[in-house]
Amino acid sequence: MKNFDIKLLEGLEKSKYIVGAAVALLVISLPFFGASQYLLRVATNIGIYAILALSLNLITGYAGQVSLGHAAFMAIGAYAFIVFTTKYPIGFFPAMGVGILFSALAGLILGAPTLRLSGAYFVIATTGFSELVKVIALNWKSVTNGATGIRNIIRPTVFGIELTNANGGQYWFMLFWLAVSIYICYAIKYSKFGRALFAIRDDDLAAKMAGINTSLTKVTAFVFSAALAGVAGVLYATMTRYVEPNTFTMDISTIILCIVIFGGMGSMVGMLISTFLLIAFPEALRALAMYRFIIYGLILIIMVRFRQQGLISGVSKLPYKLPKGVYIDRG
Amino acid sequence: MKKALSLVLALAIALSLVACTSTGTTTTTTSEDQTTATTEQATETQNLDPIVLGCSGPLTGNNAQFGENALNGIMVAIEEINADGGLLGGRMLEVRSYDDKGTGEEGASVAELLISDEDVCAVPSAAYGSSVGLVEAPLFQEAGLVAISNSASHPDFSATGDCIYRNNLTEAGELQYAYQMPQVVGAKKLGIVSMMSEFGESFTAGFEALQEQYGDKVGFEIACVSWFTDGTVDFAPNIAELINAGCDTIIFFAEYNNFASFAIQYRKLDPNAQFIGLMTCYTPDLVNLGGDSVEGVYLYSCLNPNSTNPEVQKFVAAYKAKYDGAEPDFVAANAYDSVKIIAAAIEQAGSADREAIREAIKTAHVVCTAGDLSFDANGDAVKSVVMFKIENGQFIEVEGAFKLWDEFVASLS
Amino acid sequence: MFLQQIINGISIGLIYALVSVGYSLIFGVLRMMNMAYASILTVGAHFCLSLVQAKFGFFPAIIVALVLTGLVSVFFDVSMLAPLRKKTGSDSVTVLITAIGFNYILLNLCLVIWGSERKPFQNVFDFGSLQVGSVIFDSSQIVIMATALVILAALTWVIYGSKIGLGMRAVQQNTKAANLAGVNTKVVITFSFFISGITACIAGFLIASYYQLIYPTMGVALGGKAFAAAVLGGIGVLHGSVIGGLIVGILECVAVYFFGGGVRDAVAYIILILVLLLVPSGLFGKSENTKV
Repeated sequence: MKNFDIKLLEGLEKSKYIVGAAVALLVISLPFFGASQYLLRVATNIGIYAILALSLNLITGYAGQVSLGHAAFMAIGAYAFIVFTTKYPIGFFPAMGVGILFSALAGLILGAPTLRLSGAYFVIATTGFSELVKVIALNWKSVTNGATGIRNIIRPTVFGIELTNANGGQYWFMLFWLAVSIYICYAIKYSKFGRALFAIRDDDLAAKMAGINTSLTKVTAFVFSAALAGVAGVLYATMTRYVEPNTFTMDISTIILCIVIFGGMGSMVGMLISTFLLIAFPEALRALAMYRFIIYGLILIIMVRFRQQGLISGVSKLPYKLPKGVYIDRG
Repeated sequence: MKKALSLVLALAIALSLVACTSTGTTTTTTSEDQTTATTEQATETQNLDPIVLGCSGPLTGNNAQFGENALNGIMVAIEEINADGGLLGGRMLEVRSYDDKGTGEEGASVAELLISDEDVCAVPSAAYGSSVGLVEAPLFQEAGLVAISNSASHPDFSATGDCIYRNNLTEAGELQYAYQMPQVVGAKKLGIVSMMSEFGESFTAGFEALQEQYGDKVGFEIACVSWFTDGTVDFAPNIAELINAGCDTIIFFAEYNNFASFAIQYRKLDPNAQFIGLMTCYTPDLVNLGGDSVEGVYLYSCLNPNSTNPEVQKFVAAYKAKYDGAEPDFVAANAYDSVKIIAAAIEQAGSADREAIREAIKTAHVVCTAGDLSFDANGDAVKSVVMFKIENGQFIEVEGAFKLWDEFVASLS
Repeated sequence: MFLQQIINGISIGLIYALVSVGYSLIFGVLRMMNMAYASILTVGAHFCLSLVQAKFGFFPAIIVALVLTGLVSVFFDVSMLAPLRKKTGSDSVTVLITAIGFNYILLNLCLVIWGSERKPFQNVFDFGSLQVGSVIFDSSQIVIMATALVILAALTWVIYGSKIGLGMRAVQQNTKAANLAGVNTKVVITFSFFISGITACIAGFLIASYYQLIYPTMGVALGGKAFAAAVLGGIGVLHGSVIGGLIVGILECVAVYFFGGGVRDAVAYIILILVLLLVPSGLFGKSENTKV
């Protein structure tokens, strides 16, 4: 029976590229299947949350630090991007770069002093930061336009075609950035840096003993995480085309945390599936939308208690993958 | 056990998704009211397709009251039209209403939902307020779906394009009345209390601009402008500012729920100051919440339930009968009128196509609670307002309080 | 004007103090940040509203509401937190996430059951106002001040003067050792949550009565600021929470005096972050070293 399990998992492991390619093809060609504007919008929204989940996963899943301030990094990325498209117009893509840079910088400023706090205190500090950013956005009128917010945010233009929601451009634009985010997370996961993060998550002290500069590693991860949240912030701004201080609330941060915990901290496929389920369901069942946060709350509690490894448990169940040409006798 | 639990959880969500994709966007969370409204007549006219209208508004959140009132106004209009045999020779009206929670994100999502739903031919009630309205407007315009807001006042709203209409006062129009209020009630030192919101910021700026222009002619000065943020319940710091500035009259630029809290706390310290509220304060809920503290408040509204206009009487009576004696507010009345003018446009075009309605509504006009309603070239309706004072918990009309703007300016010098 | 703002600050600060004591109570026993406290408070206030409306007498209604809210708090502990304590590998973050989850559930249940709109709430303590010099005190302010002090005194007595309080302190220092020494830790923890539910209900009732209105999101901003006050005073230290609450309230009003109403909400969060960075144990807390 156990052998069968392993064979099944190995079979899945082999076929995963085929399944992955099929899913990718389906996802990319979604606008051609006559998907309505609304479906495309929901899909784009799912993608943006997927980027956010990957971003929080870097710090929560890999390094074991929970942040509830990701909405603030989105806000900083979005506002910086907007300022550099309106007040100092430098073009869409450079402005997007500036937005990401500002988010990363904010990650550094918040992370450097606060990441030495122990778990729960760090959560509180990020919550406070999130509220603070909101108040600053409300009061710094010359930059953020205050509570009035900023409308008609420019959309990217590629080869002379404006990417809108109706022509599917926004969707593909999101997919591009989602792919970039997945690649970055993948690269980090299998790098020396990534292994250091996992070591910190499993045992901070032991990691320190092993010669890992834990503070520097955590702060670096946080900066990457904030930068990805900045990407999501810019995408969000170009999709909704309207940003005001109340756009980026604690609710968003909580939803992201919920996705990460539901999807299984550390697992990337889990992240994507979990985003799809949690963001699509309130749209699918609008009658249940009222109960949305009750369900999110339940998920947080149930997952933390019963399945901390998440819905799709990471790699732990698979047998260690041996290099080519090496065999062991399984008896 | 643990595995089973999480599997159940996952299954439940997966099932919900399947349920969605199989029925697509035609699944709608229609309000209970709607089903009752349409089933009554459904038996006789089963062979004809209904005409479907869309509605987006906050049914939860701080402004839920306004979203609900707009939907109520729509329901009253639909029932009335359906009882008269529907439109285009017996086609019944129906509404699909979605909760936008009063946020831009949800608003945009609801707008796309209505646009993608090919049954929806027009939207008589788009988003409460300008800030969500302005997110939805470009989407409706791009899709060529006629949408009317019953509460947006921002000048850019109807300027979005020829699909976007405003059945409410423009900000400039409303300011002309708001600015007369302190003069009418004999204010000397006026205190402005304003919420840091899209509306509060631009309305305060507009009011101050008028004061700059006419300040030396009117009888009052602005002694203090005090700000608060959305969600504030303790106004003590604001009240200290106002009392310190020696204000004898306070004008309040935010919705009734904030105003009630403010009034209660202000009255404890100064029972004599006069209060002025805006149109969004004209609702019986203000009296429910504020009690004695809102006694003597001056405010205005574009719906006068005591008016002798038979259309108003008909609407108010129908509304009260349907909603257990609840008083309609301006949003409900405007939403009712918006359905009426869309119905007129459909009859005029002889079709319920989006494109046909888009053309017909430009010239459509209808007699309704606002008198003879039609839209001007900007897409705005002409509205006039009436002033009220709260006495013994009732809204009592203050007759002849307002002048036309030109007359008001002329009367100053 | 400045003096008046200080007085306003004290009155707002007392309300924060009333709430922040609740955070400190649970933290004092379990070293746990009870982020669900603000929602328990809201639920308590709504219980008061519905039960008073049921018209079987005002005081019986309030007492039933107090007990019910206490039970909600106990339910939270028994059904969600107790299993986590038994489980190995649960850290402060796991508990915090559970509390945040429960907070969302309660808040949204309130929205579903009672609706999101603001509803009137009767002012029970309206006996007019008292003028001292140029400063006016409202009778409900005095009641709130008195209640905050009474709650503080009562809780201090429970923790430092009663037998169960001895158990609470023992649990705080070392749960296992307390258990071995014969303290029934389960009873002590359950009792603490019951008391915390009751203080939440009292606070919720007083606050709703003071502002004469009630709505499901009433605890959101309040909870955040009161939590900042608790951290400032050294979370877990009861009198620290009261002083922290007063400081946050006064600074808020001073900020309005100097910078206008827009910056008011930032004050508490700036304090929170600064305290966490500079003196994580707060003004009155003892600094702790993480055990290796």
